[in-house]
Order: sequence, then structure tokens, then C-alpha cells
Amino acid sequence: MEIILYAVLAGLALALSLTTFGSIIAWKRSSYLSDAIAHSSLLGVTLSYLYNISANIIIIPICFIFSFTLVYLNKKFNVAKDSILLFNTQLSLALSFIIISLFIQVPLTSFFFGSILSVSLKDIIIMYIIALLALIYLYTNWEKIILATINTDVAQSENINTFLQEVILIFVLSAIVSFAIKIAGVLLIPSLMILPNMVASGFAKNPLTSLVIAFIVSGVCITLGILTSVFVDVAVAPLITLYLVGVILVSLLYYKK
Amino acid sequence: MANLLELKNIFYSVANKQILNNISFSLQKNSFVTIAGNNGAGKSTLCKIIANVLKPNSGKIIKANNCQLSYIPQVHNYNILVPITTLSFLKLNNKKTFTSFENEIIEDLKIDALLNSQLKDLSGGEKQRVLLARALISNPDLLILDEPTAFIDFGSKSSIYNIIHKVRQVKKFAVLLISHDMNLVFNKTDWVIYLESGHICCEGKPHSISKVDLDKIFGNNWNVYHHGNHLTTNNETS
Repeated sequence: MEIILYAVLAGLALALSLTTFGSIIAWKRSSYLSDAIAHSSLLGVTLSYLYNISANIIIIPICFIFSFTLVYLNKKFNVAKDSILLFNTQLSLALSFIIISLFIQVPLTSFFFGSILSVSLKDIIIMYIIALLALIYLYTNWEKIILATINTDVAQSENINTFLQEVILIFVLSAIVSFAIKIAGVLLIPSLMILPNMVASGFAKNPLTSLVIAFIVSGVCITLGILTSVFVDVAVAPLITLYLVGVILVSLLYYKK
Repeated sequence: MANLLELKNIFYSVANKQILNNISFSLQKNSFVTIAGNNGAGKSTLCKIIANVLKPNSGKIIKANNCQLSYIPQVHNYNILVPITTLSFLKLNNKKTFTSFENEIIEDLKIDALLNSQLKDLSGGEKQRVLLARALISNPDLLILDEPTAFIDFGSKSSIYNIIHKVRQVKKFAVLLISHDMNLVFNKTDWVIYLESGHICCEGKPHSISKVDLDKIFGNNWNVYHHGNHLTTNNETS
């Protein structure tokens, strides 16, 4: 019972941080960032195993460098974002697989699906502290972030540093993912970031309501995924993703254009 | 009149293509300056540099202390995946309560019935009215408008310029306008700048511009006549 409770609490912390920030990057038409960060975090995890150091120490800079490269190359050289994403993803996956197969004897599934059922109380507390810090950043910059999302040029003309805002956003996301990767795994992170917003965007009238709906959808699917995995002995991450996809499909029936 | 803004020797290029070439002019408080020019002349780039969106390769922009800008880029640049109502957008990073005059602006721009509508559901012309309302409410010192009537039906274009003129009487701000509706704005403007291939080809008060330059500014389809300090135009094709 304690395992399930801890898993649900950890899942809700993931929903608070990943889903909230995921909605913002989806509004910015930058859903690819969730993939970029998740895949580059895989390289971070493998390097942490290789050098026997904390995953958090290595994932944050790697995620940040990869994502920053993405934004910088796009802005500076006008290279298509999806091309840079593919470059980052393929590089990260190739390096990770080579390192894993040559030096580390760890099953790949643990990287992809995480281990939400073996989460400790310490992990949960850290996840909530990160979620709280991320939400404080969001709260204090809310209107500026929304304006920059709607139109970068207007935001810049109103003295909002949109480049710095994007860099901070990537850094916060990298920090969230560096802690979430162990719990959620590479596959679940993009799902939790992007899929709940697909449901919320069809019903919400304002950005805050959208975040609340996305959080509720995410939380419910995480809880259902955890409970289902207890009974059917299947990895939690793909179950949560399937629940999210199911909710999206049902929501399309009631979608208000 | 005091300078609100002064541009000195602005150069801007992208990938070895010179977009702006040694642009210098000043803009005074409460003045109305119109920038004209063909497509690709550098008008929008110039506005973006003044609006702090782009940085020039060289040159100086001197702004008066606490000069507050309000910039309306072309409407197709808007990303409206964010669920937000028109009213919330008007208040976004802006005033939270409106005076009776500001409510009047909203009514004049005919967006009072759209306040609870989602921004993403508005037509191009409606979005332009909303953007203009947000800018006018924000009490700017300088309003930069990049083709503000591009998506607005011909019959309403004149009323948009009349509303801007009306608000200027009360709020006292300068306007820098890019417009292809020269026949509508020419007599309202204090100064016209004509850009050609990134440099200022001619500039001056509307009634002091030579017939040759007027033909460039208005294009070939318009006949322009001087009447003292006033100009009248008629379209050869109509």
C-alpha cells in the first residue's frame, strides 16, 4: 500500500511540474523540446552509470546544452527546429546505446520506463521542491511568458527579454527532467508534457484553466496507470501513456472548436 | 518640439544582404510619421529595430527617458495556441482596469462584443482591431504600427485612422506608421519617409514633397493634386 501511495504522490509531483511546463512549450509550438530534453537525458543517465556519479549532476548540463543548441541554432542560422531535434536525438541515442552495450550491464527498459513503483520518500520530497520552485518561477513571470508565447516581437518591444526567458525555461525543464527521468523514464516524460495539453486545449477558456485541466488529466492517468500495473504486472509508463491517449480520443468527441 | 527618438546611421544586414543602409531621422513627441516604400524596401525591419525587436549592425538609437513603446507587428505573426479571451489579452502585461475613454476606444473599434471570445476564433481584421485597442489602452509615448489595416475591409480602414487620430487628441502620443493606404493617411501625417532598397529616398512634410517623389510614394495608379497645404488623390483605375 505504501508503494502505491508513494508512486501516486511522485506521479502527482511529475504532473505538477512536467505537465505545467509541457503545456507552455506546446503553446509555443515547441513540443519537440520535450523529446529533445528526454532523449538527451538518456545520454546523461548512461554517463552517470559509466562514471558512477549522480545522474542529476550530469543530466542538467547535458539537457541544457542540447536544448540550448536547438534554440540557438534555430535563431542564429535559421536551421529548422525539427532537423536540429533529429540531430540531437540521433546523436544522444547513438552515444547512449554504444556506451550501454560496451560498458554498462543495465537493462534498457529501466531507462525507458523508469521505476515509479520503487520511489523513495526522499525522491518525492525533492520532486515537490522542484515542482514548487518551477511554479514560483511561472507565477512571477506568468503574463510575460504568455505574451511572449503569443507574440515574441510584441513582448520584446515591451522590454521582455524573450531569449533569456526561453533559456530559463529550458534550464527549469532540464532540472525537472533530471530528477524525473529515474521515476518516469524517457518514454513517459514527453507524454506527460504534451498529451494532457491536447485534452485541455479543447476545453479551456484561459491559460490557467488549461493548466489545471492538464494537471487533472495527467494526475488521473498517472494514478490509473499505477493502479493498473499493480493488477496486471505491466510497466507503469506505457500504461499511463495509453490512458492519456484514451482520454485524448474520448475528449475529441466533446471537443469544442 | 522635443525629440522622442533619434536614429543615427542605422545599418542592418542579413546573410550579406543589406536591408537598411545608413538610416537617420528623428521623431518628435506627438508627431505622426508615415513610412512608405515598396515590398522589400526595409520598412518592417526598420520598425522592428525601433521597437527593440532587432538589433542594428551599427548605428545608434537615442530614446527619450522613459519612452514607452507599443508595437503592432503584422497580424499573421501571431501564435494563438494559447487559450485566451479577448478581454484577458487586452489586460495581458497591460492595465487591469479601463477608464471610460478606454472603454469608448473598445466600442469605437467594435470589439466590445468580442471581449469574451477566444482570440484564436477572431478573423484577421478583428485581431487587428484587438491589437490596436491593446496598444491604445497601454498609454504609449510611441505607437509603432506595421500595416495596421492590412486585413481590414476597405470601408472601415478610414475609421481606424480616425480612431487613432481621436485617441491621439486625448492621450498625446507619437505614431510611426507603415501603410500602403497612403491616400487615407497622407493628410493626417506630419512627415513622410520613403524607403527604397534600404535607404531613405525622400522625406518631408506631405505638402512639400515634389510631384516626382509623390508619384513614387503613391504608386502609378494615383493622381495627386496639391491644394495649398492639402493633397487630394484620385485612383486612375476607379
